Amino acid sequence: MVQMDIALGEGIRRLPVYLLLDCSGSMQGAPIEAVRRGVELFVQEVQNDPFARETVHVGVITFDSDARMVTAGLVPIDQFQPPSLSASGSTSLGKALRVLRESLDRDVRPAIPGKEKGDWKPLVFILTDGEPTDEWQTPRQELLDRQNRKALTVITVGCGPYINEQNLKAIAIGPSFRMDDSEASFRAFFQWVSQSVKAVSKAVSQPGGGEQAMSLPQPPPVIQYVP
Amino acid sequence: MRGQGVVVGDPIAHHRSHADWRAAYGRLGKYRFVGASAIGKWHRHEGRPRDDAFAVRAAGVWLAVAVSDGVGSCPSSRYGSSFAVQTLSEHLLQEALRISSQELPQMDVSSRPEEACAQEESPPPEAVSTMEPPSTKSSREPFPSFSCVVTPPTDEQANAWVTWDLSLVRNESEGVATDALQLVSEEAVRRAFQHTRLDLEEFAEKQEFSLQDLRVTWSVYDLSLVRNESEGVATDALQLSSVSEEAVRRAFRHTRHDLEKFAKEQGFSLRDLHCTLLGLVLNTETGAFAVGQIGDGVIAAWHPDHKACFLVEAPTPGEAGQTYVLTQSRWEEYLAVKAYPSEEAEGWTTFYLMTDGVADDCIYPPPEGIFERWAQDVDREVRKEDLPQTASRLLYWLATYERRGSWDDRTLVVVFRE
Repeated sequence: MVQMDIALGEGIRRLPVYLLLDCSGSMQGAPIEAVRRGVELFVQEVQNDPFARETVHVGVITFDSDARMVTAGLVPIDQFQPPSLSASGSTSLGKALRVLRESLDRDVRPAIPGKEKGDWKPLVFILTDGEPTDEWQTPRQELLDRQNRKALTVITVGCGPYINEQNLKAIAIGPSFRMDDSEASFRAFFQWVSQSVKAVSKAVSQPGGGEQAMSLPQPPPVIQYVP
Repeated sequence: MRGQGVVVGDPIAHHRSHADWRAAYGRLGKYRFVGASAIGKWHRHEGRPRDDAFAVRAAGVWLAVAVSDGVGSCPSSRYGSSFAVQTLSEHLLQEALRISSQELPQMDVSSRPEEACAQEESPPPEAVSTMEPPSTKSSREPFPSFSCVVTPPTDEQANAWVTWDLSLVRNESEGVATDALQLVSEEAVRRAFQHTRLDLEEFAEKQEFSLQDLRVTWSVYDLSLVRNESEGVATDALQLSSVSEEAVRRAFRHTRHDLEKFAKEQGFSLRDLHCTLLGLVLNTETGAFAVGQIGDGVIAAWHPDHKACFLVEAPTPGEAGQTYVLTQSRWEEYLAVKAYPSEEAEGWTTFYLMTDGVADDCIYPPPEGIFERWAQDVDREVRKEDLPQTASRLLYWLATYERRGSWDDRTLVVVFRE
């Protein structure tokens, strides 16, 4: 059968997923290596999911004494290459939140009826092993006050013995969790992030899915909810 | 005085009977139409039925088109969408013919449900319907105990209105349908589609099913019979040259009311039947038309001077992906209607009604101007071949075009002036 020759638009509604990764000095050695392998696992799991493969766009921000976006904005998951990671310096989470806000303003598209499809609500995972060493309250507030404001979900996960649960909860726009800094826990964390992203992708891909409240899958026992 | 009417497209869904793919075509006066609806990737992946529906109905010189998208999170929404398109198209024609309160009866045809596909030497049948009349009783009845393939109309049947559907038999427990497939060979199914030139093997390969898993039904109506009957009625009735916006609102209100009644009778809550609804009623003599829409999707038109425009824009709640539907409580605040008398309608040659599964893929840039290009391409493509082949090609295109992130059911009806 001769296919109809009809032009189609190229705009798609993306699911932005950000990974904010602590690369401070205390993450040196096994922890940062576990994070690197975890990101590779995340990419593999999400790329193999039919819904996520078509919607997820990833941005990775690392923070130590400074913060930077190591991806060129939001990258389609099937084109995403896990970055190389090294650990040194302090824990500038405040700077990371600023970099996040700049990317949200620049890279995430708001919906304009009839003109712009707009992206889905971004999903942000912050992994840190300690307390921020810079001022983070103002950048966090700026996330909520930003122009073209679109709600987002920020999930904080603290790993190891030096985390401050109160800070984790205060930074989050959503739930907070803690875990130890074993390799198994990092692996479990990234598996859970993958499952969460896949679940959200499937929910938004569902016809009429939209911006309904989406519940994330239960994390494994090694990742404990901070009440 | 009651008006006759003939309708093609989706009948009201019965238990497991809402086809995965449906196509229809016909002509009225100087207008022709093709419509098709294809199950989306999400529903295929989840093993769930299509939730979109469409219907095209005629009485006298009037053509009414309705499309609807059942909300995906409501497992029974296909009952809502199929009921809504049948009912809205009926009420729009009633408004046009100024007939009050009575439903338009279906064309009286003899039905021969047990007939398997004819061998090649058998003559083509006369108008035969395999479509059950809209019923308020049977949405929970078992899957029909027959599968019927009827030789489609020949080219000589120029006034034929035709609809056909393809359904996948989803699992072994649907023993009834499996038994019925034994009546019909794969070869018989292929022969039935020769007229439309739908290459079933190619289609099956693209959609990843086996022809053995397929159930097919056809409905054929000889419109000339209907027109002769309805012309008498139209003369007696007060026939309007155009339908007002208030009349369209009334049609939507009656539809909503009927849907509430249907829900109660069938044991649904109204939220089980959440659906959008888009409608067009067109006078095929004067070109005047009126439209109404609640929820997402698009009703648009094409002008030969290379203009494409949206005919109506329904208000939205605002967030990406959110829509307000017919079955919600404040639906009238989100209903948009517009009437185009013949002097305003002049020059518009093509109308498009589509659910958001298609609209989302054709109205948003990049590139800039994509909707104009899309509308022009569709207008060109529907005029290339005869109606049966055009309907097949439209169905094939909807079912198979690839578009990243495009998971929804896809429904498009195109009405075009010769």
